[in-house]
Amino acid sequence: MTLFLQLGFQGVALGMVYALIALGFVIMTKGSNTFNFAHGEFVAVGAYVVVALMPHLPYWMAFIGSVVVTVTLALVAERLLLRRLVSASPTALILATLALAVIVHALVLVVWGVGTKGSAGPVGSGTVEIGDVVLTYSGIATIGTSILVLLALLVFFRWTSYGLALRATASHQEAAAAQGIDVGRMFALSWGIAAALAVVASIFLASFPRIVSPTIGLVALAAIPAVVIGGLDSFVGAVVGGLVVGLIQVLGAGYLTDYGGGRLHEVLPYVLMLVVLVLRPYGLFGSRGIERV
Amino acid sequence: MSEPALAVTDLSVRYGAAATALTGIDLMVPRGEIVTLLGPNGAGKSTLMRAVSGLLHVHGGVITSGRVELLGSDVTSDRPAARVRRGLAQALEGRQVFPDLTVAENLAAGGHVRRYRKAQAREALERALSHLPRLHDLMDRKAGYLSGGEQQMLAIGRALMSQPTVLLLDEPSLGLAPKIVETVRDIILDIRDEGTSILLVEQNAAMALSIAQHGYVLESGRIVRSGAAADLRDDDEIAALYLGVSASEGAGSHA
Ligand SMILES: Nc1ncnc2c1ncn2[C@@H]1O[C@H](COP(=O)(O)OP(=O)(O)OP(=O)(O)O)[C@@H](O)[C@H]1O
Ligand SMILES: [Mg+2]
Repeated sequence: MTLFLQLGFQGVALGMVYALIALGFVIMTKGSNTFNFAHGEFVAVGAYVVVALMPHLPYWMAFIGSVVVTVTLALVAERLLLRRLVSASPTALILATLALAVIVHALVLVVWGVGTKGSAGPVGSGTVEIGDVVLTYSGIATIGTSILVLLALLVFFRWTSYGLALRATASHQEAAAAQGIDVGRMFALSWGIAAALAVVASIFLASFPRIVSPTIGLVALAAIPAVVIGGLDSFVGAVVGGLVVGLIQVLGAGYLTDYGGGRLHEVLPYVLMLVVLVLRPYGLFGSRGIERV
Repeated sequence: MSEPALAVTDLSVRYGAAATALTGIDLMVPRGEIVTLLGPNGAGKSTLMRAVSGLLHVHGGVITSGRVELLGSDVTSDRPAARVRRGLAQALEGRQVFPDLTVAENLAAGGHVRRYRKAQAREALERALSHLPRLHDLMDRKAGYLSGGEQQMLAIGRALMSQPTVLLLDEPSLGLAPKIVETVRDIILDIRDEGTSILLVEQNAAMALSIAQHGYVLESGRIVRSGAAADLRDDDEIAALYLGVSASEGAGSHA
């Protein structure tokens, strides 16, 4: 039981990180009609910039600096790719984001090298014990911060004019344009929000384990099963999908160490993703129309 | 104040490389009047609406010549948002509500461009709802689940939220039962009586000519007839072409 609670806590923390990344995917997919495969590399950039700024600035300024850099990168990419390729086929657009992913990954390697860096996390490696269960500071910070960010997103989408305009654009692009909503600006807004979420996710993703390495972009792509499981167009689905993937990975790593060379847990989210795709292509919370995407 | 609400001059539009959809269109909507644009399927009515509202590019269309003037200002190359801010609003063909937003949210999105403060938003909402009381009870319903008639009212209400001076309506009676068409007709008159100028695209010529002051007939991208609505109503050719068939058959299938 202790082991289960222990793993469950870590699983929820990791799941929250995936939820933030998955939300970025969903917001971009809904807001700009494009599945952005470079999103994982935005997470990598976020972590590396924090690590690069940390020695010179207070932590919160390093974080803000990284948000500025990563969001700017996303906005430039959105402008160059999406606006130029508006009339291109969806497949061409997705392939373009894949090319973008490779380019950004290469840039990260050029700037920061192939070695690993220290943690980009906001808290040290201390722990709190509740009974026999050990809670890491980073796990607590991850869960707490993620919940705050989710609440902020909820407020933005429910109760602000721009949040509504973004949802309207996601719901029906031409109708939004007909109301005088600047659809291009909404595309940019969706990519900007996703990039900011990527930075928040990145500082916590770098706590599992506590290093920043060039593979972090790939690790972040584990949010893709989360997106598919939850449903490509569902905010709630992204959060639930993230939690499912985080729990599967951590519980799988804890209980299945003796099978498949101890790496079975890495595959499980993708197996579940395929099962969901076969049985319920629109995901657990998605709307049926989204099968087209 | 004497400029027309809307003036289209020598307008030609093309989709893609070859297909010319409109040729040399001249059309005018005087202030405070209803002008109707009639014509068979594929004549170019919606294309003209798109040219006026700035949405041609969404469909791969371009204006190859001519001008669109809104309240005396040339808006031919303005973006859709700029035209809405100047006082243009529209209900698109086929309603096109935001299906997964509630009725209240659909209406609020219609006012987004005005950056209303709370009190202003409430006032705009009350004004819109005064024309469309039916929506009152549906505010929390998802727009995708409304009936066709309710969706049409929502589409009109959403357009009214920006408090337009000029309103474009693209086949508001499409696919609606005769009783609902009657309601929509009364709503349109009601909006006109408040001072809004209206360009009404219709295949239901009987309904349109009964409330419009002027009418234009579009065929294969050209204006082939225009004049006072009363004259068009009495015209034998028009009666044969539009009044007999379209009044009873209503909407066909639409792309
Ligand atoms: N996106 C497009 N690309 C190419 N051609 C188009 C496009 N949209 C419309 N057309 C063509 O332009 C012409 C005018 O179409 P439009 O939709 O404006 O007609 P309409 O009068 O509104 O017809 P309906 O009564 O069926 O709504 C038609 O021949 C149509 O095939
Ligand atoms: Mg049409």
